[in-house]
Amino acid sequence: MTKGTLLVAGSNATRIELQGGGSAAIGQYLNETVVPAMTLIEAGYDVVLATPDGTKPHIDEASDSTQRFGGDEAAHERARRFYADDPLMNQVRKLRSVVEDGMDGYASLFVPGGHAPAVDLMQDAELGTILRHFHEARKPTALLCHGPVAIAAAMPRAREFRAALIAGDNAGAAGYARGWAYAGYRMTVFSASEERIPRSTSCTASSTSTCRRRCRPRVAR
Amino acid sequence: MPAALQAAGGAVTSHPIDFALNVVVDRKPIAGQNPASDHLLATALIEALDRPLATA
Repeated sequence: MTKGTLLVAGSNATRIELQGGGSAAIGQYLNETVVPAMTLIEAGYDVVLATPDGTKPHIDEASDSTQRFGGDEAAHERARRFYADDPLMNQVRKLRSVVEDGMDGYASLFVPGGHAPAVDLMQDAELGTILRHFHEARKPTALLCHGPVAIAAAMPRAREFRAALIAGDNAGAAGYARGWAYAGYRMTVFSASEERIPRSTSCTASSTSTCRRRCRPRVAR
Repeated sequence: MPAALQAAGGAVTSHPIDFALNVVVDRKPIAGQNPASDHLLATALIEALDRPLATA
């Protein structure tokens, strides 16, 4: 008997639009996905992974690094093995089927980061339904790094909200956000100064410093 | 990303030092700022989950 089940909402995104034009290869972060999942399992909770299309999230190569595990090679290797081999990371459900089967059986929701959730999850209607369920049922909803931006999916017009942000229309975005269940809540998210997209082949910037300015996700304007 | 959540009406704060551990809890949402906050976020989530069990 477990203490309860954690629903991990993963992403299927592998590219993100950049401010300087083009896109960059991205994904979900290994440590951000695995560390909370393994910690919850050790504490007696069960874990279910679900994504928009029901396939396993692509891990951003930048996160598959011992540095992301505090320099602990054994911890990095345990994380890689858990993500590759553990049945809980391989029996991936569709967010839609989670909604259809009902969410009463889940104790909490978690959205890991990497840039990926800023592409699909933040405008995913099923995640919106899931977020509103957890909000109304007052169940803990944890979000990490870029994951907190996925909380925007709880808006009825999340797709339009994201499109307005991409267009640089913050006032329009604020209009689409009206009635958002999380308005006024204190929160944090990956900061503007922490934002670094590794220089990619699709980036036309002439130098690393130009890339740091232009190769930011358009949604991060 | 902070601008996106601010446009939505969220009260967003960031730690002034890049990649410093930072987790913000307001009622049920629990947000962690960066990859380095992975363990701290997991601990905050377990605390939030175990609290009702302890008082049940």
